[in-house]
Amino acid sequence: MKSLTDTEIIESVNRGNQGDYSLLVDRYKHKGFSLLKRMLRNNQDAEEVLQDSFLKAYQSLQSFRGDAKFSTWFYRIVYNSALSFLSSKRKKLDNDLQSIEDHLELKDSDDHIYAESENVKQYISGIIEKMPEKYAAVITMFYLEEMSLDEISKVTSLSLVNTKVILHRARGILRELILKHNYQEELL
Amino acid sequence: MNHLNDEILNKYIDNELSDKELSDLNDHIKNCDQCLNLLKAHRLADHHLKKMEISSPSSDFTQRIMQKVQMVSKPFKPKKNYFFRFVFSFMLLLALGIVIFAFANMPSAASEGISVNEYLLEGVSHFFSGYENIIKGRNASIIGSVLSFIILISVYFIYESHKNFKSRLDKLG
Repeated sequence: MKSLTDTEIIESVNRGNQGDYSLLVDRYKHKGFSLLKRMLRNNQDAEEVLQDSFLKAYQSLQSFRGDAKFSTWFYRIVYNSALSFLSSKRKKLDNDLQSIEDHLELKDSDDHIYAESENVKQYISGIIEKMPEKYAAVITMFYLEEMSLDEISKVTSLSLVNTKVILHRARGILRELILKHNYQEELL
Repeated sequence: MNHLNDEILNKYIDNELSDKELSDLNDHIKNCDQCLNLLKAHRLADHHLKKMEISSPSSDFTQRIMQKVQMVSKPFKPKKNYFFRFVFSFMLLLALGIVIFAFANMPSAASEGISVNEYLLEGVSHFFSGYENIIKGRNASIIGSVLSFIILISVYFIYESHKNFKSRLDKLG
């Protein structure tokens, strides 16, 4: 059976078939959760913010005009909700300062993650979990959601150049750590 | 070729190097262990990023969302076409007004001393003669203008409605 497109589901929900919204929830909950888990680093917070995002999306569904893809629109809600959640949890820091602090935190965590990891896969997963939230968001959307840099820049409201810089820096951080621990000889 | 830098490594990963740049890179890493290691590390980073795992929320997540959706949702009102309702109501009221106007000027059946059937027949002929009087002379041009205006507006909205319908069909296609 041909599965319904996002637009068809939205039209059905807007016609009053509320139950059809569960199709969209099922379609986007895993990837939305993966994105939030990496940004918030906590399963419970990730679930809470994802739930909030789905409710916000539902309440605004009638205003969704279909100019952009639903996924881009929805991830924008998820991303902004995550940032609001983070800023309510901690005193808002200047973005640059925050990046530096996060980067230092990553370096501090490195020894601990390295000691705990049994192999390179576990080590890299551990490092990805500790990436600063904007880095985590960009690499998750790029690799997991297979979104283009253009789409990611629309979701995050970062310029295309900054989005690309973040992606390259994230790869660079991993590369340096791989070299530090001499993992590069591992077979792909 | 110079040593590999961030830009070349990322272009390599994203398949954005030209044939010439790729061949230069391959030639270079044959003789430069430092760059070979850089490239291997960069590829390994990309490889593991591609293998990032998808995580799942708790199994009853969808169910919980749908319960909240039911709680927060205002009953959905499908979009109604208020314009057509307005035009229809207006026409109906106009027709009713004309009928009432025509019958209001008639004497009652009892005072005339005729049967109900004859009275109704008389009413209908009175109605049409009344209508004929209404649309005579200056009234005709006023009524004609008003009706033309209503028809023009209706045609415009029918056209707009058809255009919207077509664009929605195109989107579905």
